[in-house]
Amino acid sequence: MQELDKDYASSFVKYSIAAVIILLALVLYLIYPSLLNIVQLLFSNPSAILGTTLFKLLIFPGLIYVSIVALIAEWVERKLVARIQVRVGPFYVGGWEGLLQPIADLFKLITKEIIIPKHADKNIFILSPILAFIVGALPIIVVPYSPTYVIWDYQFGLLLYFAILAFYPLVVLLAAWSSNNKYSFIGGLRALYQQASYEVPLFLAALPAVMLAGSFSLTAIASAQARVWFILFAPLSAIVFFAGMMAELERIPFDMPEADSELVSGWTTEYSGIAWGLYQFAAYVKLLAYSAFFVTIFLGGWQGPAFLPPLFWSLLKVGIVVLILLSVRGFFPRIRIDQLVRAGWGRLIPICILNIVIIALLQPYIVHILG
Amino acid sequence: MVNLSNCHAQRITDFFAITHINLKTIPIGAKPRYLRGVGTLYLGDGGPFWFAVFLLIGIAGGLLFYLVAFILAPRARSAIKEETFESGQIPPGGKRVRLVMQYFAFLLLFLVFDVVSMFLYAWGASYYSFAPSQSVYAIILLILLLPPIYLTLRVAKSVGV
Repeated sequence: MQELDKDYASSFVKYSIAAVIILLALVLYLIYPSLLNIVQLLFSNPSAILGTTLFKLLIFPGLIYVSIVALIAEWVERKLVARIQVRVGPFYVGGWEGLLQPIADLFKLITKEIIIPKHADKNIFILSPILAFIVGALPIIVVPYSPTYVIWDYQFGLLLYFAILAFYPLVVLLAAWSSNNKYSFIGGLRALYQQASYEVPLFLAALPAVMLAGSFSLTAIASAQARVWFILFAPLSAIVFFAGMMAELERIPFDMPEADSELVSGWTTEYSGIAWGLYQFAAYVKLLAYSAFFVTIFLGGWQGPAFLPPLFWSLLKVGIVVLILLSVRGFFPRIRIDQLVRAGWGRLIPICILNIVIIALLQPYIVHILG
Repeated sequence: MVNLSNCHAQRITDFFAITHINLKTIPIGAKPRYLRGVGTLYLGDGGPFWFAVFLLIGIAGGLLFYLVAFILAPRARSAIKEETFESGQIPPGGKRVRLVMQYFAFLLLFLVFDVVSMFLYAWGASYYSFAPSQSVYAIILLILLLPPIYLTLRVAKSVGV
């Protein structure tokens, strides 16, 4: 029997307690004036709290909303796929149809042992789930849910969105390389090929929205669709974006990176407990971020009939897109990596280019309709 | 010495836009001691500020998850448990796994296409201002993108990947 290495966890706990205290103190110091502002508004004008950026960041389009949606999406996915495959799915926890199953899962994952492999690059191994969660969650700060519900109304929001999500393959590769496991590394390389191949179609498929709105700001793109949704001008791009979205999210039929019948669990093979849980959480947060982005650039964002508030329409559309994304998992088999790369470069990019050429040629008519 | 024009300076201040909040309206009991003499407090209210706050909260939240897990979860270490997972086999060979990157050519293609699509964005953003005849050049560029893809796919097929 070989002897054990030095215990990594104890030193990690020591350093991370210090890091958490410093980070929380820094955050408190930074947001203290807005906290005071909120306290002040609480007595004078409580409804104005909804408009403060701190509320948006922490509650509505921000962290708590994202966490709740991630938990609900997990339950909906398991229930939906179970119904498609004629199973029952989660049933016992929480009374009605296993509604509290995601919370039970969270507690289960938190109380499970985190196994750190001997040959792993331990710091990167432990820290890359946090990185994945941040990279998945950051893009939501530029996505608008209504003309007022946007954390950062940035004039180059679309580019910032892509710039942040372009880090995700890097996180995957870090996880795969630091695990030092054959399954992880094959899965990580597959994820890299997949996400690099589908990054370009995604990027080109979003170009019609920028052309038709004449702006990179997501708020401007959504408000330019007051008369006509951009999906009518760019149906091919919307289809390509949807396919690219599924590939970036590593959902079936594009789930080779974590193909559980070939590679045990792909690039998350060595992860256990809450480290794996953070990756799952990041995946659902990314799902929400992509759906909200798709709704904003193709389905008109908050635009809808005026008898209901804009917020309702954007939440409804995001919900429908998320449901479609989740239910696709029940219908399709997995495709091979060479088929995927070939389809990405040989089919999706030419289709994107075709749509851009059509929009460029129809410029006088489209300008007449939109402007 | 670098001479920034007014235009640049204006853009930089826009990017780090700060607003101030008036602390005089807050009741004195709700203010901590170090802020009592201060009338107005400057705080970043631009996007980059909240971006940074979000980043810090994300890092702190992730670390907190780990802390709770390391405190609550049982730890029973053993040499065989910490061995690299290989479906029950004891992994042979050296310590660092190395694999062949079969589709490396597509990653190179990705580098080229990312830059080109950036140029296309610069063209597409001025959709409402260019004359219809000027889009011919962009269309030529778009069509020129197709042959390299099909060449790469053919070569990849002949090599057998």
